[in-house]
Amino acid sequence: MRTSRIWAQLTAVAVAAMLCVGCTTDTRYSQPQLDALQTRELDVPADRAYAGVIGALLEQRYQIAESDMDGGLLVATSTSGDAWAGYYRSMVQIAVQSTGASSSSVRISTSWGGQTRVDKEKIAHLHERIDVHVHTPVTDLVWEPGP
Amino acid sequence: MRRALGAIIVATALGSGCVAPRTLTRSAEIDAASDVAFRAAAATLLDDRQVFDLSDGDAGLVAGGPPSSVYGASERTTFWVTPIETERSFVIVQVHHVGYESAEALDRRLDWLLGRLRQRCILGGDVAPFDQDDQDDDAGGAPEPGGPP
Repeated sequence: MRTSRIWAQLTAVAVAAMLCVGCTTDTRYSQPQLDALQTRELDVPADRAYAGVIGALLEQRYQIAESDMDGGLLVATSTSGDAWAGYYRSMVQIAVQSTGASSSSVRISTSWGGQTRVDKEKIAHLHERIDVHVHTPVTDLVWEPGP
Repeated sequence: MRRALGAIIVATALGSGCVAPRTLTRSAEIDAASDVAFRAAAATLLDDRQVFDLSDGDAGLVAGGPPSSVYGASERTTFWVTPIETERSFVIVQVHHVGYESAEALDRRLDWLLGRLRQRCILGGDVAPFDQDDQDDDAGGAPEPGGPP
């Protein structure tokens, strides 16, 4: 009798925890907020920005899945986890646009678990690395084997 | 019975750790124009019996993987070729591996891929025929240009 009551309580806690997880919602951003988060202006032409994006993605161990330099669009994925815990796949979509003879813009969109989700830290970090890559000769960067 | 079950659980946990995704990168400067190096990279993937799943010549990107997965393992190889001078290129090769290969084996694989690309740049179609055993047995780096298969 007592055991069944403990089981009932444990089940209730588990269900409540699952409901709470299910209720978690992503922050909703307005379009100007999203633009500010996702887009950075660069003081280099679009072709150099595009090369910087490729370099940053490879450095951060993304697998580039799609690339169209003419259209300025890239899609890259990243897999983490293991067979025991399961694999988690995240994706970034990057649009590079020319905004002048020596200026361009880079917009990064992130998604995870099959849904578009704004990952502020990941976007900011990638922008930082892209900035480094567009302003550093490719031969001066460190390309070491990963762990 | 309990010990056997415990051993199975521990072995499975340890084994699953070996199939964590790993991404390794290696770079090299190549004495060839970027278009030559790009074609050499594509030829290297074909030599390695890989199937292209990405090609963007303007960006210098080409990637592929084996036609089928073996025992749940999978792999993808990406080459990025970028010009640094008229007749000089910088090549980055990335191998993303989900499987049981050791870090040393993946290191050798990166060496082999860059070595083959160099061969292709120098010799073009005159490169020695590729044999899968050649790559597996090669304990230390790139094959000699024009050497035996």
